[in-house]
Amino acid sequence: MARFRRTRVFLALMRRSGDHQASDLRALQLAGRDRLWHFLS
Amino acid sequence: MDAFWNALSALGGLAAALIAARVWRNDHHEKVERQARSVSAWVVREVGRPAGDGMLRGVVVQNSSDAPVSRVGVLVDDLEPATRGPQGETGSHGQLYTQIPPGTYYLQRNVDDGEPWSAPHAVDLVDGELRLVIDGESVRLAPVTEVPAKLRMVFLGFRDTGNRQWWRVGMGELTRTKPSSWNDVSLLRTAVRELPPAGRRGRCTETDSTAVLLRETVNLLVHPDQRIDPCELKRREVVLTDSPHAIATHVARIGLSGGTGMSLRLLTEESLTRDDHVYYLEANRDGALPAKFFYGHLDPDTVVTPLRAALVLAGSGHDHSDAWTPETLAAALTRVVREHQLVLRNHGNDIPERRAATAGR
Repeated sequence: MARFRRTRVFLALMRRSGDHQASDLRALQLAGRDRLWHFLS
Repeated sequence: MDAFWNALSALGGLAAALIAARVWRNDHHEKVERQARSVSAWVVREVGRPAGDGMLRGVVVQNSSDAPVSRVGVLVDDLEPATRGPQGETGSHGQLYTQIPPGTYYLQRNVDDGEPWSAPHAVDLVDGELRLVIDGESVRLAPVTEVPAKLRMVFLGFRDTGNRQWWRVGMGELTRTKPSSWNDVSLLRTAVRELPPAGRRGRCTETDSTAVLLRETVNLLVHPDQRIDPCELKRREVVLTDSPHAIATHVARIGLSGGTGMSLRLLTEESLTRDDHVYYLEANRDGALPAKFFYGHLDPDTVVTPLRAALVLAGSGHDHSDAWTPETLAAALTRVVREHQLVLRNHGNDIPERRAATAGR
């Protein structure tokens, strides 16, 4: 139940983002510290 | 002769151009640095809902400047058992955002498959609290301040409008140099307030030492709603952190750089806005450990721990600065927590297993 709520909110946030400002706030999926680290360096 | 004057005139023009270029460059650097100081992030949790009841956890990224920053990278260690790897390793979850415009945004942690963090969602500051409104539900968010924190920032990286790379690492220090070792990167939770311009500081006098402290203030860990009065910076600084060692290190740093004596007021979270619920730790002039520890108007039922407390360093008029080292202060804080059996309050929900006494790392 707890997980369900988090998932529901997460999906709602993603949906909202897609609705109105996908371009400016677009998230690039880049999980993991090494990949993120190298991307930013 | 004309040639001489022409040459002289040309030289003068060149010098003026060089000076103008230098002034422009300094102004420009100051401007982009001011923007960098205005970008911060800290981990948050939902207020008023237990962890087992779907409490939301995430990160708030704040861009207090007037221009977007780009390539905003957020990396967070999530120590929730459910998010660890097969061998129980720490889960580090990063996300890179193309752009973060001016404003305050919430990023929701995702423990399911897919992206580790949600797209940013604007949050409002209502009565000193961050509010997230999603699907008609209003969620209150507060900084995560316990030790050991199950969610903690590793770093925040971003590029300013001049495309210069910046990092916030460690205790929130702003740097342009990528840290050389992951061991240097342990904890980040910071909120930065733009300090008012010099002209609005009333009777405050801008001195070199004040300027140093002003600069240091942007690196302090402060409650996002805590306002810092620059007039008081010479004698007071506020730290909100979740580690006695982090506090102690900072105290030592300020003590050494400021050279001022200090008494330590350990405040509850409530006392960030009200002036009661105050602990005092007062240094013994002859020794490293606190000579006194006494409760202010503290109700035993509302005891909080340094984990959710702010430490206020106030000039006491006595020079105790040499009495504190990171080790002695960390030991003192840990001892106080142990002796008084301070219990972490998670917005009204006790988490007994996180006794502060275990926080002496």
